[in-house]
Amino acid sequence: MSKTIMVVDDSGSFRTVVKLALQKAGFAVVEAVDGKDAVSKLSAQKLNLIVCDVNMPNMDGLSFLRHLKATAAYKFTPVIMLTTESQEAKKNEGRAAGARAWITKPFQPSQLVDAVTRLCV
Amino acid sequence: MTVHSAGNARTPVPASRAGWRGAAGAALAAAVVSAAAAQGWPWAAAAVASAALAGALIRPRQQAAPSAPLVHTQASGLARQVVPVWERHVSSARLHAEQSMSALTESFGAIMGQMDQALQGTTAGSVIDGETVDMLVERHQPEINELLATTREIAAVKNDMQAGVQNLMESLVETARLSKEVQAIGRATHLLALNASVEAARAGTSGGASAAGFAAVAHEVRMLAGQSRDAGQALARHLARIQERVHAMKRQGDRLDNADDELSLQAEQRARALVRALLGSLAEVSRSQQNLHQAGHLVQTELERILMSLQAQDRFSQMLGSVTEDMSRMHAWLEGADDEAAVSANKWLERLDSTYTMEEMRSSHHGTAQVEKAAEVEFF
Repeated sequence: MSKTIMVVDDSGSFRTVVKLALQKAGFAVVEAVDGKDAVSKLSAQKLNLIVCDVNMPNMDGLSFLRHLKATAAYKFTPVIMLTTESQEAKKNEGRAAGARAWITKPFQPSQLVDAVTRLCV
Repeated sequence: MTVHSAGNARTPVPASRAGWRGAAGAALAAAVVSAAAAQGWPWAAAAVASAALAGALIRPRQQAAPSAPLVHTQASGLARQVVPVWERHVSSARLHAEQSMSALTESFGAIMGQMDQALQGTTAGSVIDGETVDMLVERHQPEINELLATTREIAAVKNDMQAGVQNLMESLVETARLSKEVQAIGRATHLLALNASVEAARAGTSGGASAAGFAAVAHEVRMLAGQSRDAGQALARHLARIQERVHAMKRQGDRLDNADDELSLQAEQRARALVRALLGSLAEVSRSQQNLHQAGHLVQTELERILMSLQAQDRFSQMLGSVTEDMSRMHAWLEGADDEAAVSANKWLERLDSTYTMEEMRSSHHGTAQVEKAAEVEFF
C-alpha cells in the first residue's frame, strides 16, 4: 500500500505540481489549502509525511507545524517545509518548531521525492 | 502564500503627513509594473501600466505648483481615488493568473497521466534482429515440427506400403519356385507314365488283358502329367506378370522415397522462411514501438519541465500579493487611517521590505543584483 503525503499550500497550481511529482514516485497525496484546512483533515487518514508551505492565509505553516507537534497522534509525523522563504531566521523557527527539512521554492521534483522518501515513516 | 497586512485604524489625515503621499503612490505603481514585467507577464504589466502613468502624473504637479498645501490636497484626493483602482486591477490580474495557471497545471498533469498510461502499455522491448530470428525459430521448433507432421505421417504410411510390397515380392519368388517344382513333378510323372506305356507294350504279347489295363492307366497318368505341366507353366506365366507389376510398384515407391525426403526438406525450409518473414515483420513493429516509446519519454520529460516551470506562478502571486497589500495600506492611510509607518517614506519602505518572502523581492526593492541559487534541501 502506498504511503500518504499531505500537501499544504494555498496555491492550487503549486499543490498540483507537488502532487504530480509525488504521485509519479508512487505516493498517495492529500491536499489542504492552508493550515486550518490541514488541521480539519488530519483525523481523516493516516499520514506518513506532510509537505507544508510557510506563508498561507488563515493558519500559516509554522503555526500548523506547532499545532501538529502538540497533537499526540501526529507528534512524530515528519514535516518538510516547502517555501519561498529562505531567511535563516525563518528556517530556525521551522527547525525549532519541529520541521525535518526545509526546501526553498522553486524545487526540483527529484530533490523533493528524495527528501520525502528519506524522511517518510 | 499570503502577505500579511498591517492593521489600519481610520483617523483624520494631519496636514503635516500629507506631504509625501502623492510621491509614494507613484513609487508604488512603479513597483507593481516592475514586479509584473520581471515575471514575464506582459498582460499583468499592462493592467497596472495605467497606474504607473497616473503615479507619474502626480509628481510634476507637485513640482510645478508653488502652493504646496493645495497641491498636496489635490494629490491626496487623486491618490485616494486612483490607488483603489490600481489595487483592484492588480488583484484581478493576480486572481486570473492563479486561475489560469491552475487550469494549465491540471491540464498538463492530465496529459502527463495519459502519457504515463500510454508508455506503460508500450514497453520498450528489444529489437528482433537476425540472430533473434534464428533463436526464435529454434525455440519454436516444436510448432514447426507440428506443421510438418502431416507430411511425415504420409511418408510413414508410404514406407509401410513399401515394406508390404517387399514382403509380397518375396512371397511371389517363393510361389514361383513352387510352381517350377510342380512343373518338374509333372515332367517326371510324364516320363514315368511313358516308361509305364513302354513296359505295357512289351508285356502285351504275353500279359493278355492285364497288360491292356496297365497301358490304359499309363496313358491316363501321362495325360495328368501333361495337364500338371501345363498348369505349372500357366502358373509360372501369371506369377511372372505379377512379379513384373510388383517390381514396377517397388521402383515407383523407391523413386517417391527420394522425392519424399526432398519434399519434406523443402516443406521445412518453407516453414522456416515463413516464420522468419513473420518475425521480420514483428521486428519492424518492435522498432516502431521502440521509437514511439522513446518519443513518448521525451515528450513526458518536456511536460515535466513545463510543469515545473509553472511554479513561477506562485512566486508571481506572492510578488503581486505583497504590492497589493501595501496598496491597501496606502489607501487606508490616504483615507485617513492612522499608520505609524507613514511618518516617512523610509519607514514605509522598511515595513514593505519586511513583508517580502523571497530574496528576489528584496533584491528588486533595493535595486541590487540577485544571486541565482540552485534549489537545495536542508535537513534538520
